[in-house]
Amino acid sequence: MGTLTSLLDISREALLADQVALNVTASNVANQNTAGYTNEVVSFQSADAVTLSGGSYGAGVTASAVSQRDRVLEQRVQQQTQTQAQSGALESALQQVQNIFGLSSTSTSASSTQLGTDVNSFFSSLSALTSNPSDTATRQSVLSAANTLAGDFNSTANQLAQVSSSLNQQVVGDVSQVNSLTATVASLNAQIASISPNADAGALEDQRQLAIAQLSQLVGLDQISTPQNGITLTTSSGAVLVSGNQSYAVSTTQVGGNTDVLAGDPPQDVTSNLTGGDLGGVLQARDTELPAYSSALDSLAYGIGTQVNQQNELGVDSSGNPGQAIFTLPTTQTGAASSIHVSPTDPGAIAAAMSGEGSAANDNATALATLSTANIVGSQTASGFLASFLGQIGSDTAEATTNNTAQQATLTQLTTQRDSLSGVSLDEEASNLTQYQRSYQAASQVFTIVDSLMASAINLGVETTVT
Amino acid sequence: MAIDQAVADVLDETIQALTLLDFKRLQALEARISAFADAGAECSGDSLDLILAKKRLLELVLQNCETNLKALNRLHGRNMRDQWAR
Repeated sequence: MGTLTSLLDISREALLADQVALNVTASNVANQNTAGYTNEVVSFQSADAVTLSGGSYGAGVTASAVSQRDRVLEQRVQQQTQTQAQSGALESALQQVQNIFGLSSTSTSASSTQLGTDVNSFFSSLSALTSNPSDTATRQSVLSAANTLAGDFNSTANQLAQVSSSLNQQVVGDVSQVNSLTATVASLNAQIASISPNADAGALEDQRQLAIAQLSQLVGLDQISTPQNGITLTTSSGAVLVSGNQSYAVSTTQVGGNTDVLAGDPPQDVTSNLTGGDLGGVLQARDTELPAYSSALDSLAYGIGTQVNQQNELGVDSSGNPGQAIFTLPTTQTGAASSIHVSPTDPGAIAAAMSGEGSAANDNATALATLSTANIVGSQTASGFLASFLGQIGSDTAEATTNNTAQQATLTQLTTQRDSLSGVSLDEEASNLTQYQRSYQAASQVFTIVDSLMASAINLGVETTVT
Repeated sequence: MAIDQAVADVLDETIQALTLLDFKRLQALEARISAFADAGAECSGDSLDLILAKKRLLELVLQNCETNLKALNRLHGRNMRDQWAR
């Protein structure tokens, strides 16, 4: 049988193991609100038994902490974070566009928008001119409506440009944060490789996962596990961000007025291939959605401007001179909305009469008014084109909102799954605390009893006492 | 209108329950939806857009849920889970 001394050793190990368990519980409770903390559980393992004289004797217990981590689930949460962050950034940008046009989630009616009202007012003023072609006030109202319409085109185009500019600034901010986080991941890779190259690195692993989760908010990532418990990170297009203890900085450059992203070694322009995260959404909005809206706005401004100009040039002004262009436009439709303006200041410049008809006649005014029902923007009327255009913006925004809500729900679903495994449960910790406390008390009781037995053994047959 | 509101509420609750993977609640909702279907409840045109939008959202969440569950099943099948314990 084992000696009293070995019993003391076993009791001592039990006390130490229970102390480890109490430490783990204390750490879990202390970190219950720490972002990225992974719950630890205690793994008790009996020490190798000793065989003496054919008998096998237990040699105590050891305890260690095990992180309740599911790497697969973690990676899935991070991928979903990237998808959700992209859809969130896209939704945010499209909401801004929707606000510019005065649309809302419940109303995408063109006639209720400022641009729609101004287009209608302009054609209404031309219609009014057909009744009073020689009236200066009526002519002035046509010029005023044209100025208002042109100003509205300018303002809308400028606001779209401002959204694009603000998205460019967002790219710069995101890139700066990406660099800070990739440096953190590289540093943690180095620490983990030296401290825990073959197993979960506990708190360091938590910190690295947290940094990668924050990176996922910013950019789409691919992760590759490497030897020595390392993680290599690349962008979704394959440009390396982190490899071992080395991080590769992402930078920005100006290309055609836009901020493009350079990544990899050597740095290459990866803007068109970046997906996921805030950057993915920002770039999608800036490079795909906004140019399409700007182009449609240009088409509308150019279509109205050129057709009105051509018709006005077919008539004669109030002085009997050939009509001139009312709107000044660029030679192509690109940039038409931002630069369109009204050339004449004299209301007499409106060519209400046809050539040879006499300057007080109204045939050309009628033709100008008829443009409201003519297909002057592609194969659509101006109002029809505007309605389709605004409907498209409303539909895109609604789709982005729905998609973002769905992605958010999916992220919540995955996060809930992860937290149920890796989060700290105070109820569970309270139960563990009581269990480990009792276990510690029992081990100390065993220790006390063995101590007492040893005292008895030492005092055997002797009246003097060792207590 | 009461039917419309009830259907919209059921869809909202289903999305929420699916988000939290609350299976008991999903089963209860299934029973409620079956009751609607058995009763032949029809929505009015006024709320149709709203209800269709919620249905679309539910479809997206379901699709994502299916994709995630398949991916998790496949990846866990490789027995990657326990190798990180220390």
